[in-house]
Amino acid sequence: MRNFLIRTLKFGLFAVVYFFIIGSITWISIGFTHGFLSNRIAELKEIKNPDILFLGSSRCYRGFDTRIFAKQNIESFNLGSSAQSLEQSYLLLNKYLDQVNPKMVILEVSGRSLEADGIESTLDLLANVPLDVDLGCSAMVSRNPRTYLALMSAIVRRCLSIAPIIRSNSRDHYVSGGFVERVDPTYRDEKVFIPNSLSFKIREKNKESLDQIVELTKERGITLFLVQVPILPQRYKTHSNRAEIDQFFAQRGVYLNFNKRLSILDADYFYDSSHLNNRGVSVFNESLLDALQDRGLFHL
Amino acid sequence: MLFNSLAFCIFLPLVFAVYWYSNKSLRLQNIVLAIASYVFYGWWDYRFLVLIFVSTLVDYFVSLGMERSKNKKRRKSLLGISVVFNLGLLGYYKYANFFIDSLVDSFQLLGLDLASPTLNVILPVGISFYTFQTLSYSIDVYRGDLKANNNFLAFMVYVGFFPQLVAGPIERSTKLLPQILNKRTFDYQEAVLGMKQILWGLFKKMVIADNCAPYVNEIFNSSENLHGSTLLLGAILFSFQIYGDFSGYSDIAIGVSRLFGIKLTRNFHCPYFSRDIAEFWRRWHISLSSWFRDYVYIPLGGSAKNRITSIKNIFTIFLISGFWHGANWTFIAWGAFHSLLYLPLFLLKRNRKNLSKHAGVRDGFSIVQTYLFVCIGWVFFRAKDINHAMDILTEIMSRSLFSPIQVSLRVIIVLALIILLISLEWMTRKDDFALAKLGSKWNTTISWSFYSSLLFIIVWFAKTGTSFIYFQF
Repeated sequence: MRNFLIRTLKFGLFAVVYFFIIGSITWISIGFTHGFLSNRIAELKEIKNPDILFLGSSRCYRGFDTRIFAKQNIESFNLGSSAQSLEQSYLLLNKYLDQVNPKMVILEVSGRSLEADGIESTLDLLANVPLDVDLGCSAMVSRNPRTYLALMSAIVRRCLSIAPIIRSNSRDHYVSGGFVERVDPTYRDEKVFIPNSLSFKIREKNKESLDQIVELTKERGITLFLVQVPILPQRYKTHSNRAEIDQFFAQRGVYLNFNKRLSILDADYFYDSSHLNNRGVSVFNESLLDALQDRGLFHL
Repeated sequence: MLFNSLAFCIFLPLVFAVYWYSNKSLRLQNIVLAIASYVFYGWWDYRFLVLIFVSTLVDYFVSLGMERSKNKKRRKSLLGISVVFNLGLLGYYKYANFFIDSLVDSFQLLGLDLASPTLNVILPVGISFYTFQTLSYSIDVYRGDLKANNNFLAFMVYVGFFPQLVAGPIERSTKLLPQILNKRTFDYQEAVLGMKQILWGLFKKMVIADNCAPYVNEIFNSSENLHGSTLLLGAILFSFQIYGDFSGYSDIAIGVSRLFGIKLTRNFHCPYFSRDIAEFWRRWHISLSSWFRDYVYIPLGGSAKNRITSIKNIFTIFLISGFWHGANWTFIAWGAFHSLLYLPLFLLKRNRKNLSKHAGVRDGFSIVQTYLFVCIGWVFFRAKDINHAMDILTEIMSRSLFSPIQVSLRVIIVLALIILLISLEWMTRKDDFALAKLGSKWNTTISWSFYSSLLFIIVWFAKTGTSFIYFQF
């Protein structure tokens, strides 16, 4: 028995050291790079007082093209990240609000951002955003072993001052300002991966975070605009509680659902069921600019 | 409480420490196991503890009654009480709605519209497993194969032993009870094997099963839009999901039991390496197959009578086996499909083959063929209803089987992990489980690095809080 306990303890220690080494190497080398968050964080240092700061998931950084806004003399920056839930949107806003100080925040929202457990997004943030107490705590409470590994690697990276890897891929083009453009705009039918859930379940933490975002922007006198970026109508309709989600957001601020406004968009405007292609982005951004002008938020 | 939960990570070392600290007497050991088992089960829903306790009481007293009585009629009546009680519990909790719905459907076919009074019944976790375990005990005592046990505490542990309580292996009283009735002493080798088996079980469950699950759900939920090739991929992924899930659970259960000095029956023996369906059934859910063989098939006459009776018995056993899995026609169809595959082997007397030591090319071909048949069966098992299964199978059999599949990198990674599982199981197919001997002769640093790598893969691919498929059966 004694031998067994000693050997188990020894193995436990060995495994911890092994995890620390292998985990750190794996995370530092593989990281979480497909959302280009490291590029955005590197660029963010130079961003001061833009007109608009965009926040949200991949639908945000693939949906709001800062170049289109720049043509209208609107300076903007896109701080979207992969699978960003409202919890992580608040975390990023809280972290960078003082530094960036935007006039308006456009928050990309959807049933998914309300439902998301934030694991994927936490991994992305840990791999690419400088570690601080809030981010560390968010990883700790996730109760997910992978986020613990990523946290460990973030600690090592911070201690050794290793900068996040900035990579590119052949499918996407990172545009200065945070937007990511899909090179091939052809729609890729990925029916296999369309979820077929009955309804979105609102996660308490996300609800709480949205209320904190509303509170924070109100305190600073920053206009907050909640926007649902259009997705392929067939996918949008797979969830039955769309009205409930609309009502939820509408109760919390200025809210526009472009799935309703641009419901005519078909597969020609998307490169997959969740993301607009260049053509779709152009139509959507023009429509958003019109909506902002209608509300007197910008005079174009 | 789930094996793959944080609660269990705390529960197991705590119970292990108290159990071996109370090593002074058998009674203390059994008290610890009984309390731990009831806490483990009550963690899920404490209300059903009453059910398991009453089930224990009924079979305990019925068996004592049978033991004391010389009157054959009285013994038969007592056995009847046990059978009616256990199957009644199972019938009410598991099959009540199925029978009501089927009755309403039958009346509708006759043009009579009945209101369907669906009962709001929650299925108690593990009821199919522990009712079968207690039932086998009563039958053994009735047959005289076993003396009735008069130690209630030991019997409580036998019925509720937490590692195998909710999803088996279904233990025979002749194997488990003697171990519970004797004081356990700590065995270092067994404990090490137990830890390795838990690790292997977690790998199968958390890496293979849980990572196949999202794709299986998506494919089966949107099957009407998909090509045969993608549907076949769905069936293959499901075959590994269910294998990883259930055999993973069994490995963890057996591993945990080893830590407490109790040996459980092997429940899976590389079933996808079977050369025919008969062999598959000797390797898949062994404890259930042998239960049905000993308590249903042989009492019905087995294959000892004429051919017609034997065929009838084989059909019966497969249909019951399917129905045991759930109150749905899809499970019955699954059982019927397997019986159709088994019957030709039985009639040709080729149902007794075992995988030879050196599998040749012909064996390889047979293995692939059997696996594909098993996959077809799994379509019935996983589909919503018979029509859904038939639609999927029709699409698989169509030309669209040759359509290219668009798979993401994640699916490719899952397939690579499946290949890793198959390779390790093939290399170690003669062993008790994959890690039983693998790595034991290596240098400590290398073997510990190997186990840590497995642990790392588990952590990397883990999805917390996912339940086990067989909990619903």
